[in-house]
Amino acid sequence: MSRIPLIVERDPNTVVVIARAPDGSPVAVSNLRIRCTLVVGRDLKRHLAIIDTGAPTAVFPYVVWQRFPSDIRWFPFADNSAMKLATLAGRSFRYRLGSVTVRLFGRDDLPPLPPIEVVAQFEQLDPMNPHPLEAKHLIVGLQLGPLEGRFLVVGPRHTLAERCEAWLTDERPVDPLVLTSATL
Amino acid sequence: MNTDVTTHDPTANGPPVTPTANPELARWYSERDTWFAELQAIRAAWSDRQYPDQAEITADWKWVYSQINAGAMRAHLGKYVAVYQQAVAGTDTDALRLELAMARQFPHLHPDRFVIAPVG
Repeated sequence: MSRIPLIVERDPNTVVVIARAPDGSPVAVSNLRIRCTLVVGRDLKRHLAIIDTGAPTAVFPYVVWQRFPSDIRWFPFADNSAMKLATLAGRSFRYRLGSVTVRLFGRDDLPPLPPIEVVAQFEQLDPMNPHPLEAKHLIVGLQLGPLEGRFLVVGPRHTLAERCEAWLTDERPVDPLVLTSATL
Repeated sequence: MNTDVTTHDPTANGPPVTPTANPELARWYSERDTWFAELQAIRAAWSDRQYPDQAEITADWKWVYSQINAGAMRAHLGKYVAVYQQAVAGTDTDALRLELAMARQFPHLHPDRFVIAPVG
């Protein structure tokens, strides 16, 4: 793979901030999201995921991974704790760590990335949590997954008036201003 | 990557907790387990050779995000949409319930043929 185009979501109905720059030009901050689809293990179903460089690893909600429990290799915690606590989109959830084989698809009808073993947080049933994760909370995080060793490029502009693109690439982009590297 | 793994051991660090302390949450999981089981039973009736064409699925993913980015999904904000052949076939606030509804409503289509996308 040299580069794979990702799904860019920027719904104009979800603009979060509209302001005016010192030169008078309008500035709109939208809910820009970079997404991909992926399949897990021997399963063929395409799951929608958010590329989240703020997430340390991938996150699989319970409602997603219950489809492929036998494909998960569980990693016992070194401190012997049963579960750990994390937060995502304002929701706390308990998880166990494990890995699954993932193939990541981009926006276009191109072959997916080669299969990669992804270490992820798998949400666990929690009797005290009133807000379990939803299917839309499937995350591809920064480490131990398909972003590692690659460059995530978002650009060229983020204004609402201009089309924004994003892609994942093995090659260092020419313009470092649009570079967000998963490996930095 | 950490290679210190216990392979295929779902009980690593002990069994998962069962949600019994909160009846509402127990019902939430129970409902989903029921929906999921029905969906799996529907899927089991299809062979791998009948699995939907990935190019068609990709085309629907592209379409739904072109619509979202054009602001054309405003009516479905806060919901999931099910897309088939570049048209919205159904909506719901719960992705799994929507998948099941599509599978019931369109038994001639593989349940995984529908693209389920959140709006907003």
